[in-house]
Order: sequence, then C-alpha cells, then structure tokens
Amino acid sequence: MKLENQTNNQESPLEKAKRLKTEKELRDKIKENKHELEEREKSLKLNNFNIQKQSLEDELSELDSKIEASQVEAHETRDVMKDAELNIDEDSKNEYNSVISEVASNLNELRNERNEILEKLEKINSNIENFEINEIIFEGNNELKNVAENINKENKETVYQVENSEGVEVSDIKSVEEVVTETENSIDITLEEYKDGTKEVLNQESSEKIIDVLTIGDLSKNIDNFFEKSKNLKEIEESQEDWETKYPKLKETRQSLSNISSILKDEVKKMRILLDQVREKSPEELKIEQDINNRDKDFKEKWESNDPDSGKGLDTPKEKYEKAEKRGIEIMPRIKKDNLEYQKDIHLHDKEYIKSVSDLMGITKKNNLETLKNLLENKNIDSKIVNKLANYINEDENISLSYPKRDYSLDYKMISQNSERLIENEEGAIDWIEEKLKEFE
Amino acid sequence: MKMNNQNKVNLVKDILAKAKKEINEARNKRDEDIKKILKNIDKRQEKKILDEIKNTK
Repeated sequence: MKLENQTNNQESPLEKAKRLKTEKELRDKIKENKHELEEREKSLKLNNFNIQKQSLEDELSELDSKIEASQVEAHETRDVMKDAELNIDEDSKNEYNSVISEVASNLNELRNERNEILEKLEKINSNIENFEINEIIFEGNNELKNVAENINKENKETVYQVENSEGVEVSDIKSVEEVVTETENSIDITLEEYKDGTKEVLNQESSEKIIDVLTIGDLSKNIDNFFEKSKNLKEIEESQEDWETKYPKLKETRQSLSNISSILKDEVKKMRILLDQVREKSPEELKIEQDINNRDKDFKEKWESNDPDSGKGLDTPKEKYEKAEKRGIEIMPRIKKDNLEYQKDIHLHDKEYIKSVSDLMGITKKNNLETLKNLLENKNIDSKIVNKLANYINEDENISLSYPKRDYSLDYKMISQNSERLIENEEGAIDWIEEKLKEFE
Repeated sequence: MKMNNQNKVNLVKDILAKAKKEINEARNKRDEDIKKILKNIDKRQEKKILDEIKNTK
C-alpha cells in the first residue's frame, strides 16, 4: 500500500491524464478490432451462403435444360413408336410399354433431383433472407446466456455469504435458497420467452418472400417464350403450307405453349395468393365487398326465410309457383304475381352484383399490380421485367390477379369480359317482368 | 401477419431488450431480498449481543 501510494504520488496529473488516455485508446482499439473481426466473419458467412445459392441455381438451370431435352426426346420416342403403331401391335405392345416406362422413369429421376435442389435452395434463401435476424438472435442468445451464468455464480456466492454470516439460522438459509430459486426460475422463463418470441418472428410470413417464390429470372424467360410461341402459333396457323407439313409444327408449338402456360399459371397463382396475404384491401374494395354481402343478406331475409312465423312460409315464390304448376290446376293470380316480383328481384340483385364484381375486379387488379410493381422495384428488379410481367398478367384473363377470393355464383371471367352485355340482359329481363306485372294492376 | 425484414429485425431487438430488462429486474429483486435477510440476521445478532451485555450486567 505504501509503495502504491508512492508510485501514485510520483505520477503528476498530466502523466496520469496521458496514461488514462493511452489506456482508453487501447481499449477502444481492441473493441474496434473485435467489432471489425465480427463484421468480417458475418460477411464471410453471408458470402458463403450466396456462393452456395449461386451454385444451386446453376445446377437447377442445368437440370432444367436436361429435363427439357428429356421431355422432347420422350415425345419423339413416343411419336416414333405411335407412328409405327407399336402401341397397338400385339407383338410390340410390351416393348412399347417398356420403352415408355423407361423414358418416364428417366424423367421422374430428373424431376426428383430438381425437387431436392429446390428444397436446398429454399433453405439457403431462408438463411440469406433471415441472415441479419438470425445473427441478432444468435448474439442476443449468447449475451443473455452469459448474463444468466453470471447471475448463477452470484447466487452461489450469495448462499455461501449468508451461510457463513455470524448468527445465521436454518430459516435464513431456507429463505436465501427460496430467493435464489425464484431468481433462477424467473430467468429461465425470460430465456424461454425470448426463444419463443424470436422463433415466432422468424416464422412470420415475410412480404419479401414473394420475390423468392417468383424466381424472377425464370419467370421473365418463360414470359418471353410465351409471347414468342404465341406469335409462332399464329404464323403457323395463317401459313399457306399443306396440312401434312403444317400439322406437326402446329402440334409441337401448341404443346410447348401449353407447357409454358401451365408453368406461368402456377407461378402467377402463387403470386396471387401471396399478394392476397401481403396486400391490405383498400377501403374501396372493402366497401364493395360489404355492399355485396349486405345485398345478399337483404335478399335472403326478404325471400328465403325459413321461419314459418315470419309469414313468408318455407317455400320461395318460385317454388310455390312450380308446385302449383306441377299440380296442373289453374295457378292463383297472387302466386303468379309473387313469382314475378321474386324473379324481378333476382334480376335486380344479379345486375347489382355484376356491376359490383366488375368494379371490384378492376380495382383489385390495379392494386395488386401496383403492389407487385413496388415489391419488385424495391428489390431492384429491372423495370423492363416488371413491366413485362404486368403486361402478361393484363393480357391473360385466365390467370388474372384480380379474382376476389369469395365464392360467387357467376363466373368471374365471364363477368370481367362481358359485364356490359350481362347488365343489359338483366335490364331486359327486368323490363319484361315489369310489363307482365302491369297485368296484375 | 405480414411484415418486411426491417420490421422483423426491430421486433427481435425489442424482444432482446425486454429480456435484458426482465433479467436485470430479477437480479435487482434478488439483491433486495437478500439485503433484507442479511439485515434481519444483523438485527438479530445485534439484539443477541445487547441481551448478552444486559445479562452480564
């Protein structure tokens, strides 16, 4: 102690300040180096994931080419055998089946291989997507574990300290043990909650996932192919070639168009489901849906009550009319009039419904495309690809994004393409019924 | 529930901060409880000594 005092006394305030400064600089440097090292490790880890991803994507692309070649060869093989009628020739039938199953088995093997790669790719994508979150969770976990270990050490020291206090009694030791157990339990619960909470966040559906599902590169390629093949098909159809030359070309182009189309439909279907999850419905859409629901409810309440006390009876006016018709007796004017009123209301209801669904589809389609564009542009996807995708979706009504999820009784595509004509039809029917109703005035 | 990655990161950070706070609170409570126990022991011991002094007198 004396020596220490002496040493301290010998250090002037300036020297002390300099020493403290050097010590702090050293501590800061160590901290900085540690941080840099950690950052470098993270970057290496992420880089490694990206390399693995690239390699898997290369493998996938190679496999896709193999599958495509194998499909073409399979079709050729089948056509050659069918041309020679080996499939119906008794002597060759077994041979035909064996060749077909060999070709199918080769294709299946390639497809299985493709699925395995897709699975690995999905895992890597998830690692990349959640990289930052996983790192925070991992670091947080270590930090909390260290704190918990320190507290456990302190607990032991505390018990030891109390046990060795002068005048300690058994009840004191018991109390300390209770306190320590309570602390340990409370920390265990916190650690468990941390684990569950972070797991829950990781499992949340991410809006960025949509991009992975789309596999933009493939989609863009397929859209190009789709337009190219559609153009080819039109050219072949309009060509003046004789049928024998034209037919194989038509068959092949139609087949590949149908293959591309089915891939695209699957992709766009996935995209639509994801958009449904990602995008909040606009107040306009919600209002239209609410109006449709309210009108459905009003209509049912007016005409389809199952409550005999309501005075409406169990049958709708149409059912009453049909029953009377079946009995072959003269139908009472009241039943005829009720039926006409009922039919008029159905047409009015349908007219409103067609108008609402047609509006809803337009708005939903517009909003979905906007959301999709934003998502893609945020991911720095080339705007040409974004526009190409939007054009494709607009062109093909069959896989339109705009289908609302509700199960309506009329066909969406029909409504979308013919709403004006359908509304005119309904109006025509209403006019006709109104004329008929005049007979009862 | 839909969220982007930044929201997820923020949420995880919040959960970590909450866990740290709770652990700290548990530690502080333990320290307070132990202090009370030690204080009791001290008081008892003090009383014992005072009693002993009284008895000696």
